[in-house]
Amino acid sequence: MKIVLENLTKEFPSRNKKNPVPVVAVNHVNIEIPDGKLIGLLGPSGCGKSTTLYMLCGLQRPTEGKIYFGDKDVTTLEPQHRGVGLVFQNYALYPHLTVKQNILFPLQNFKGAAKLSKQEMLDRAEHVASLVQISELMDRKPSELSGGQQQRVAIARALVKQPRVLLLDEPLSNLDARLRLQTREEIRRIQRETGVTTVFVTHDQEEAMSISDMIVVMKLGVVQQIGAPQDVYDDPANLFVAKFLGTPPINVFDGELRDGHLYIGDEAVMPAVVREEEEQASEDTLESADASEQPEAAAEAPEQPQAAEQPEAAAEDGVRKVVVGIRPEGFILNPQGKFGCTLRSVEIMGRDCSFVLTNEASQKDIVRAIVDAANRNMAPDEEGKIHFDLKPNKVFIFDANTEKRIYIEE
Amino acid sequence: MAADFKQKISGLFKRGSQADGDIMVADRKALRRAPKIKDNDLLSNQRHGWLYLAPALFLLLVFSFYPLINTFRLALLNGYNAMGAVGGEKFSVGIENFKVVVQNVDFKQYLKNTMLLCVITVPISTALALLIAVLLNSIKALQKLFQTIFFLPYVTNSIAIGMVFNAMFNRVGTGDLIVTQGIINNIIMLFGGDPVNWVNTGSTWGANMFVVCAYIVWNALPFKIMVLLGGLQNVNKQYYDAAQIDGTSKLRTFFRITVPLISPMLAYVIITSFIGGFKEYSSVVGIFGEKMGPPASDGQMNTIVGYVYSAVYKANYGTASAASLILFAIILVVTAINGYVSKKRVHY
Ligand SMILES: Nc1ncnc2c1ncn2[C@@H]1O[C@H](COP(=O)(O)OP(=O)(O)OP(=O)(O)O)[C@@H](O)[C@H]1O
Ligand SMILES: [Mg+2]
Repeated sequence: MKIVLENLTKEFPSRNKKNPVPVVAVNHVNIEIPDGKLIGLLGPSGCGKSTTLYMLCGLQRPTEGKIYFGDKDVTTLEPQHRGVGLVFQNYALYPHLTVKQNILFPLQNFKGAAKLSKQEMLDRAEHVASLVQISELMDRKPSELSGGQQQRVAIARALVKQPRVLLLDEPLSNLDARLRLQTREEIRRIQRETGVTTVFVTHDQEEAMSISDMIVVMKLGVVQQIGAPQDVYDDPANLFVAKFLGTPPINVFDGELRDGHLYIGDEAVMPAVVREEEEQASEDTLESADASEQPEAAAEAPEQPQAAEQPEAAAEDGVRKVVVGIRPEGFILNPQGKFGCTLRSVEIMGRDCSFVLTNEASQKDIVRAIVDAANRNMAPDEEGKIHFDLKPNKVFIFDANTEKRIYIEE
Repeated sequence: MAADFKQKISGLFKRGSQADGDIMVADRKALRRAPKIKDNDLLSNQRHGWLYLAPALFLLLVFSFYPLINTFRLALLNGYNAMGAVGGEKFSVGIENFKVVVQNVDFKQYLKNTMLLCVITVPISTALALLIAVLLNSIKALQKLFQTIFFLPYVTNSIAIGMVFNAMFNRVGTGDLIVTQGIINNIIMLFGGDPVNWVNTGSTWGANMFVVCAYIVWNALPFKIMVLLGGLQNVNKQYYDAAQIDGTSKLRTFFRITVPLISPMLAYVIITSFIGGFKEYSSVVGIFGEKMGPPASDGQMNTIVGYVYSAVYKANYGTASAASLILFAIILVVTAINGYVSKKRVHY
């Protein structure tokens, strides 16, 4: 079933009496989730992922905006009538009931026409149990299960009533690295098999990228970008998204746009002409975004408001301050390359190797470049520098003030 | 989560023993690593331990263990009495004292009174306390205020509360000259009922029983509410969220989630109130005075502990000891049954 979030906003009243600015946990969020897809809700801690999920299942009421399941407005519908299954961050399995009783619990609540016979309930419970592969654990108590098993029980309990929507709140955060990998594959498999529309909350970008059909990146309650994981990775809309996705993380430099080139430090690392229509368009959206900005949103996202004036002023003398993001895999070794970095060390990781470098203009202490392991013995020049060419599609340019992407001519 | 909770619970009930266990483990590990040096340390540690325990141990020996053993001794000395003992009389060993107690008509009446008090008040007060605790837990505004109000009887002298209960049920005046029927009767009359003779001369055993039970329930509430409220506040709210999403009715949530999750507290409350109920005495004194019954019906509401006291007053230490041992045995059996049931029913 398709889910639409329209202008969804959640404010929590401030506890601070002197400065009663409400906390805007979710800020005018618009998302459209296609039927039967798994979408990953992604963002750093406190960005409003759980709040969004709780509004989806009805445990919290939005301050503003609407939620549609299919064509039906469910904004004010009670949780029990929404037909959602929720897997809590810590599973919330009833500790005094066995696995079987836990799974049967939602079915025993059915009333009237939906009421099932004992046998039907058992059949359904056994079916989901085999789906998540816990059939042999049915008589255990939750305290006698491993974290991964508990998680599968929680999923079974959420699935058994055949929900129209499955919501998972950081379900893997309690598991160790290996189990996490394994269970996320399992979630993907179960979701495919059941075809239930699923929202998966996580702050782990790798997790979200690997299993989602679509990811939604959030920051401070505001949606930053929505798209297929690879598209968002290849084409980040702003610096935050670029920094948030990818391991190892993207390298970030201070740079300038002038004379039709991108400069990092004194080096013109590649030709770069700002796309005219892009510039126009981005200014338009900036202005309209500014106009629609809520007063309380200003407090939440301080970097947005100053946006409108700055870029033009900087652009006037033909020099535009920018921030440059270069993915670690965006470097091509070339002794004649235009971009030089001082070599610190080389880390070998089997097929690839990672050059650990420094650069004056880098915002972080080290710069990381991943190249084929065959090049691991590459000697630096007499100044201790390694030179690179850059893959244009791995270099992203952002406005230094707004941190929004600046698109350049191909 | 479950483990978490479990730990909290066990922490609640046996914090001491758990800490001891930890120390023991630590010590043993240390011992394995460096046996020679640590051996001395361990000994001096133990010495310190005994030193700290000594005052408490001394008091326990004098005021608990000695009386306990002596009770057994006295109970088994046929016809033991203080006067005789002082006079150098020797007593044979046997179960004469127990026979005297069991064959005593009064004792049977007191035993029945005590049993009934337990059976009636424990379920009522526990259910009522649970209801009030759930209500208290569900309100946000004024919760602290109500908590304080419900807790007030706990810090009030129970004899004083007994006297207040007596006043509420007491009729003042006789025949045509009734000053007041007591506030309870006034309420009954307000609804068109006939006044009942609750505690005055000629009042029935049933009416007396009702008053004592009402008193005991009232008196037991604060402590139980406090324990159960503590349990309720420890229940993770997510269980309720999960239940709500699954469309669980309020009633089902209460019986299938809330009650099992606070079952350790419930078991604790029930066991302690059974024990308290068998030792009931001061409530009757509070309402009826030392005569343990309404005027002219002395001992109508007396209890086992009351029997023991009166035997002690008459210097019949032998029968007093035997009666206490019978009470002890009853409590032991009831607690064992409780323990057995709660092992099946308590979920942690
Ligand atoms: N009941 C509440 N009252 C006040 N503020 C709240 C409440 N619940 C959440 N918030 C605030 O709303 C913001 C978003 O919280 P939310 O729980 O949605 O974050 P999250 O993205 O799930 O984070 P995490 O990854 O740490 O779970 C946070 O700043 C949080 O402090
Ligand atoms: Mg969260």
